[in-house]
Amino acid sequence: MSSVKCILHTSYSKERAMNKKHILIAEDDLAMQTSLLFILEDEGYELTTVSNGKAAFEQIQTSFQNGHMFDLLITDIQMPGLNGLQLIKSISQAGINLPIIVMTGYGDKQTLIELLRLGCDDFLSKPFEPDDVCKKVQEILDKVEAHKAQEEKKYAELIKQNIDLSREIDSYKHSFLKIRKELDDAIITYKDLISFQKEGYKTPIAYRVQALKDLGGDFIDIRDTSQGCDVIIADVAGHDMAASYHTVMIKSFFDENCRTQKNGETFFQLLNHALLENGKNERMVTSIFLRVDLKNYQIAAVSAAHPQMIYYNSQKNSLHSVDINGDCLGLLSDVTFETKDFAMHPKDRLILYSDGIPNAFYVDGKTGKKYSLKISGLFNLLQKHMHLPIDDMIESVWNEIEKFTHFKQTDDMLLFSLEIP
Amino acid sequence: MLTSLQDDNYIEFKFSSEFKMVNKIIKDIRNFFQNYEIEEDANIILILRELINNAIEHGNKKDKDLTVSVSVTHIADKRFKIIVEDEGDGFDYNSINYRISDDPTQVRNRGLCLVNSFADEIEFNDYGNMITVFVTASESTQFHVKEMDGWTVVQPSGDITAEESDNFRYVMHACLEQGKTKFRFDLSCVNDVDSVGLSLFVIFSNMAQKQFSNIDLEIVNANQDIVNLFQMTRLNRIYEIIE
Repeated sequence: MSSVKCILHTSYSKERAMNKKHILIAEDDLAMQTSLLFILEDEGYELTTVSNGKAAFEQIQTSFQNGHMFDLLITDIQMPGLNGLQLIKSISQAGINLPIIVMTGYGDKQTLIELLRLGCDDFLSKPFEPDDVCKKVQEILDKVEAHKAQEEKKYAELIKQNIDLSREIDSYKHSFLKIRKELDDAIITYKDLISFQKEGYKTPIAYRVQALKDLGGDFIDIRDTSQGCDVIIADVAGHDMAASYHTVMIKSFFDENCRTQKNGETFFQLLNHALLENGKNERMVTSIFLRVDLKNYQIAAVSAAHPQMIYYNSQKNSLHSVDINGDCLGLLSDVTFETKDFAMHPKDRLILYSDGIPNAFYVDGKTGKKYSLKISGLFNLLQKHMHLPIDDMIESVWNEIEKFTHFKQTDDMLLFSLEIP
Repeated sequence: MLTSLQDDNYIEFKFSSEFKMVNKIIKDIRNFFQNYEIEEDANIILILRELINNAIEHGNKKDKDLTVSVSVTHIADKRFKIIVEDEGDGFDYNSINYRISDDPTQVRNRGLCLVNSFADEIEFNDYGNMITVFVTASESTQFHVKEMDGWTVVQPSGDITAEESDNFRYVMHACLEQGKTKFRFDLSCVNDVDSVGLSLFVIFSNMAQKQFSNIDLEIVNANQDIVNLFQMTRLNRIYEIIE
């Protein structure tokens, strides 16, 4: 392999650092080789010469592999071994991208066309003037440089866009997680606020509640009083955070009323006023308030358009709806309520529920017909299980309701019962 | 392998148990649904995906030599019957617990729980390798407004519930801005009004009465349940119910 490396000024690495363009010259004619060397070394290029196509291809492969690719190939067409045409084909087949100038001796048009088709960038006709050589080489190198700069700019823009996008996604992710965390905290706080113990009251109670969403509108609470206990069930329209705020407000009013012991009608008037004053967007609330007097075995009940309470008479083993007139809360300013007083006996029970229970439904797939549980369905289930202890009764009725709906919940559901000791 | 068959109210696919088939089939079924002018129904698509994935993964255990059959039949209106069958060993469908777990990381069985909760009804064959699911495509309620005998007649095309509340609010707002004072709500197509829907009727009457002194509000063609609801909440004091 005949290879002459022409290093004119400094060491290899220094030239690399100075970003000298490295040109490979493939030419078997020694005179031509020398004249090209003379012309181009004055221009400050780093030059490597070989005298046949095979050696040229080996040089190119080596430099490709070690990452110091030539910037330009100047090759003759007629060479022993691998000729110029074959060399260009080999380079292209190897998938190597290298600008090429071909020197043609005979002005063979046909060869020239084929060369350009093969991806050769320009050609020099022998014999050539030194200025022509320099100009052509500079042109090609400039073209390559400009193309490279453009590609780099495009790439840099893409990278920048990518970074911007990633940053945006990160910030969304961050705020989403933050909101999710805040919502989770709000849900936990809400659940803490409205939760209450299942036992330890003057009357035994049992209940099941299932919110359609994490934040629901159904609310039940009970407080012991000197005479017995106060009970509230309330259903705020909607299943969102705003509904929960209303629920918390109702709870704090109930707490307050347990201390002040105002009667049910007054309590509902105050609550209605507060709901209207504090909410710009009206939200319907239905509710029942019970005052259980265990000394005299008397119940005083007030309803704000809530689904009818069910009374279980243990002596007659019978169930009755308790009809109480009253407006719903949170919508109108002039509302009226009535108090229903009635006597109860030990072992009697009261059953309170939200409208999600009678409205629980399933759809028959074949006909598309919808079947609701209705009050009558709830009566049947209560009748069937009323002989059980209060906990088991509520549990059994609840399970049957779930089964009835094919375990598809469509609304908040709440079922509560208390027993006169 | 994929073969399909389609006629007027029916589309069917048989294909080898490969996940790459799923998207192609879902796409074709989407096109089929378009014949019935139903909106893109994410729940039905989710049901189909769950069922097909189950059939490939759990039914046929990803054995490419076993086929999955899927068919969708239009029953009536917006209702469809979906049948998915695999060639696996079947499973004990009586053991499924359809209660959706409170724990969001609980993935076992979640697929069928979701299918159950979005479907009207689901059935299995005895062997347990074929599931039949009845579904109803959801429709959002449109609020048609027309002028008749000096009244502005508002006719909702379906139920008035929390999901439809924004649309309802928007339509009513627009009517008030046009200075209308006589409103008749034709509830002939409404089966259900939930408490959020009811609240909207109140909000509307409050807004209207604040703006104009002589507001007439009427409810016509309401079913008995809705009439009861208006009476129970005393909204019949504001909306005259014409029976």
